Amino acid sequence: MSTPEQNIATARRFFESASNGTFDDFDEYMIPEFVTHGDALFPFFRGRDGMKGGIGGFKNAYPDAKLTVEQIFADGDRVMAHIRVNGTQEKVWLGVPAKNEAQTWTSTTVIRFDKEGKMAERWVIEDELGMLQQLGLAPKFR
Amino acid sequence: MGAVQERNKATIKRFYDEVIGKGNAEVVDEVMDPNFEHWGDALFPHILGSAAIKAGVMGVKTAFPDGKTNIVDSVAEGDVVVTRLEWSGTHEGEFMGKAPSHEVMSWAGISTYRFNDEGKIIQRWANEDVIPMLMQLGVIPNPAASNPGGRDVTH
Repeated sequence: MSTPEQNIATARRFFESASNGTFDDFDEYMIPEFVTHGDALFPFFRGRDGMKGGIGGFKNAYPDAKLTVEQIFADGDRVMAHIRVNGTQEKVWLGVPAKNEAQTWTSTTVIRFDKEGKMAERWVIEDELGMLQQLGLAPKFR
Repeated sequence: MGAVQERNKATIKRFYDEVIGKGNAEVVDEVMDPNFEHWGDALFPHILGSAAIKAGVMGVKTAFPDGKTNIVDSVAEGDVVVTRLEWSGTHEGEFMGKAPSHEVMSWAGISTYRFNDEGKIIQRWANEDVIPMLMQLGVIPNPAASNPGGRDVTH
């Protein structure tokens, strides 16, 4: 049984791997059947390979994207993290040609770990309204 | 998980049941510090003070009288409670400039609450999946429809 502190350390590794684009690191701390439950824009990534493909697609469009942990907590077999995403859109994303602009939004993740301390399941809600506004796909309300 | 964390989880449930569900705005004073501060997403980026929360809750309650929040999961550590939640309500009053549609609308969210030493809510960080509801209301376009060359981002 992994401790909450170990799970937090693993979650931090996950966000670092995602930021660095070193997706093969996922194999060390994520089960192959890993499932991400997302939101309306990105509802599901099924499997560890699906996760690699999903984040890989985003990193392709935002090559310098960094996921910074602003808050992180653990309770039992779960870790919660509030993340700030910063990146420059250098390729087409959601049909929008490269703006070559720095964009930023927040994201909240809850990760469930299995008994061996590997990431087994994840729920994420991202400020995609903020993303769509910066892409010019949604109006700004204020 | 200790007694403080259990108490904090119960306070969150009371906030959602009484304030969000029943519209009992006065319960805000029992569960929330007057200097409460919220950091959210693009729709509600920053809210300062429990009085502003009361006003906001009652505004939503007028537009969605049966609006309620279901807590799906809770994580508690130290002075923090994290909740995965689902809100739903029927659009019966004007909201964001849109006349009542009488349609049921919903969103999922993850909110992180921090408590003060007296057990009152003092801070919140929130992410809410509001895009489907804003599309349903007609206040934002469907990105797939406005970008025929793009992927269908609603599925």
